Amino acid sequence: MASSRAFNKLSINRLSVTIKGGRGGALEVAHARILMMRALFLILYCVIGVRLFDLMIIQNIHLDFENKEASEIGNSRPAVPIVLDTEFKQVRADIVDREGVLLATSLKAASLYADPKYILTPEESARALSQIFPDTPYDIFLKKLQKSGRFVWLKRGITPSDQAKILKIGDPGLGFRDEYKRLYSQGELSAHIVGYSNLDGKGVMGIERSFQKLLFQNNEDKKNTDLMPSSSSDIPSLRMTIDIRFQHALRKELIASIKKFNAKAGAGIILDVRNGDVLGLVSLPDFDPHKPLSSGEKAQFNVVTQGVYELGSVFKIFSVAAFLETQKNPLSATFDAREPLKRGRYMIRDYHPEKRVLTLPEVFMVSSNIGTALIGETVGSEGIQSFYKKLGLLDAPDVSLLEIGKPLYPRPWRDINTLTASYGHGIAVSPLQLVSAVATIVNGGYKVTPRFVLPAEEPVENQGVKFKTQIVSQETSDVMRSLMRLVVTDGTAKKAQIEGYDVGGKTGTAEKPGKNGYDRKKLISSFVGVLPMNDPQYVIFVMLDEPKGIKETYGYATAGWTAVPTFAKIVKRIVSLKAIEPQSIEDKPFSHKQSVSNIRYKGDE
Amino acid sequence: MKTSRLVFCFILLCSVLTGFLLFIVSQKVRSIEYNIRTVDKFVSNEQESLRVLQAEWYYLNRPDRLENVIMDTKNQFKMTKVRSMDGTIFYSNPEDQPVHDVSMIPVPQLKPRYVQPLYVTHEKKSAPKAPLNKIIEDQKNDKSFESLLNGLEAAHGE
Repeated sequence: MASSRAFNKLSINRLSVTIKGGRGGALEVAHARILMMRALFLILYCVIGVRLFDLMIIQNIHLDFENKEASEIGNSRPAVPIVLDTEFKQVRADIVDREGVLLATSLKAASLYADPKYILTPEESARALSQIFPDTPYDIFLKKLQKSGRFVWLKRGITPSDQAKILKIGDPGLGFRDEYKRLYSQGELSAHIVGYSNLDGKGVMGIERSFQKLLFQNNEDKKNTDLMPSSSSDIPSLRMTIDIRFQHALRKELIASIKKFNAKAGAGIILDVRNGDVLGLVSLPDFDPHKPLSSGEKAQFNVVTQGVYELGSVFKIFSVAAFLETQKNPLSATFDAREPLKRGRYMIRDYHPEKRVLTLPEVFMVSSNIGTALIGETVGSEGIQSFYKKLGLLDAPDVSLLEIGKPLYPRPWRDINTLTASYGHGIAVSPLQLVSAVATIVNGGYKVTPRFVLPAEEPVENQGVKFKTQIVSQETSDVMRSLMRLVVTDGTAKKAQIEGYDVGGKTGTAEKPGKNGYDRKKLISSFVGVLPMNDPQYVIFVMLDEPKGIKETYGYATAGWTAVPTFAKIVKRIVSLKAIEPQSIEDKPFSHKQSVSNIRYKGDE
Repeated sequence: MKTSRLVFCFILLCSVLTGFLLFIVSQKVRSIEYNIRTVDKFVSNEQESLRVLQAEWYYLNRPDRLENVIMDTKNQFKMTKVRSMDGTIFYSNPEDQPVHDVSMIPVPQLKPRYVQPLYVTHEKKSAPKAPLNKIIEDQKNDKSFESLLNGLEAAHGE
């Protein structure tokens, strides 16, 4: 019994122990779980509490501070969205001249738009807007504000003062977006060469159009090209070859001449013969690039690159050069200019008939059409054509500008065309082509390709001739320089003489073609000159369209009276700008007579 | 059991501490990001201002405008010449500069009579026998200005 009691007690004890242990374990687990849940909830509440504290207190302080800072930075202007790098990279690149003078830049400006859905009173807002912008009538604003869409542009690129006035209207449907507006700091001065872009930042003309992709692409990409300087500047700039001082000298003198001779238009170009850099390019009339349509479409026509003209006697440079290149003993040749030259039904006359036999330098010096026609005839149609082609006068020039005119010449080319083309009639080229060809002749015979944009790392001042393709011999180049000098000292361009400077060139007076043949009263007077002749650096071309004779010129409107004095004034300005010193007697000036007589040609005895 | 609780408490503490630290770090990151944005914005605004100033500078310095300004104002200013310490004359208008090499030609100086000398003469003068103060003291009793002058004259004359 006792043993059974003891067994029962033991078993109960065991059971009780087991039961006790099981209960305790479960309780502990339950307690632990509850504790854990409490802790989790506590952490959760803490997190929520901290987050609430963060949102309500800390970030609120930050926002207040941010707004305050924004208003301080923005100089009490409405808070402007933060300009991030990505936004900054979309800015259209600046354009500068060869010396770094700013020609075009992009400035931030607000543009006004409307969300017609939120416009409270379209009539009142339209009235207020038409008062702020008097150039846009009330009905146009009203029409835009009553549109059904959610977005409509009202005015692009407005001034801060206009923006402030609009804010005072207080219509919630009116809003602003920051845009970049193109500013041309030199205005009309570089209008044709720099061009302009429209409101959407798309280049319409000039370099703005030609380099649209490069100017507008991502800044990092711009720096990877050869044309954008890899400087520390955030916005790279495109460097042009023009020098704004040359541009000003050219424009100023051309405007003065157009006014003086009551000319219809004018054009000028300055080209560096050593590297083909276009240092100045002026086409008149010009226009304000900020209001390109205000001057009419004609003003946007680039006379220098787009226009093709029969330029007359300046072409004698090329026909004489072709003669020198192809003939033996060319300087001893003579040409009978006693009578007008008759070929078929055509009669070729001289403007200033000498009525005698002329030597080659005399033909060039007195600008004899008869003599030059005979020169052309001697060289032959094939010879003249191939020479003109080599000089690039029969093809559109391969330059970075897109506004390019194609030359006009007779097709098929007959023998009579050779005669007329030798003195610059029956063939029309652009002034840019002419200047490039003249540069090729005087720089030692190396073919010049004009350029408008400088590579990023290239120094501004270049030394020596850059080009490699020689198409005219050095001897021919030297003789041509001498002959061009002769034109200034003894020929038709005596008014181009500047004391201390050896300038040379060739005049050209061409009658304009009309409905009934050439009009003798409508002239294109031009002069292409070289400075200095002893070491050619610049080719300067001046052209006046339909100049009128004045009392001072005894009624003449030919190149010698109009374009040549203009050229001389431009040269006087340029030598001051570039500090080209006049030559003294000790410096042994370039002697054209000595030079012509000393040069011996292949085949000369 | 106790150990597990301790471990649990430790993990809990670590979690709380880590959470707190992460919160602090996130706040600092936010603050720094905000600062960067503010500085970026400031730099951007400054760059924009510089661009505006640069555009204005080149607009105002257009060659035609400068030429007009010069033509308008050139008669208002008189050209001057400046003499350096070594006597060389520099002309503000280069056209007035003499053609010859200035450095090789002596620049005309002021005539001696116009120059105010510091020492007029080097002649020796005999010193007064009696000290000047003594003479003045002696003459004080006289109280007449003439006697004082006479006394001084006598002192120099001897």
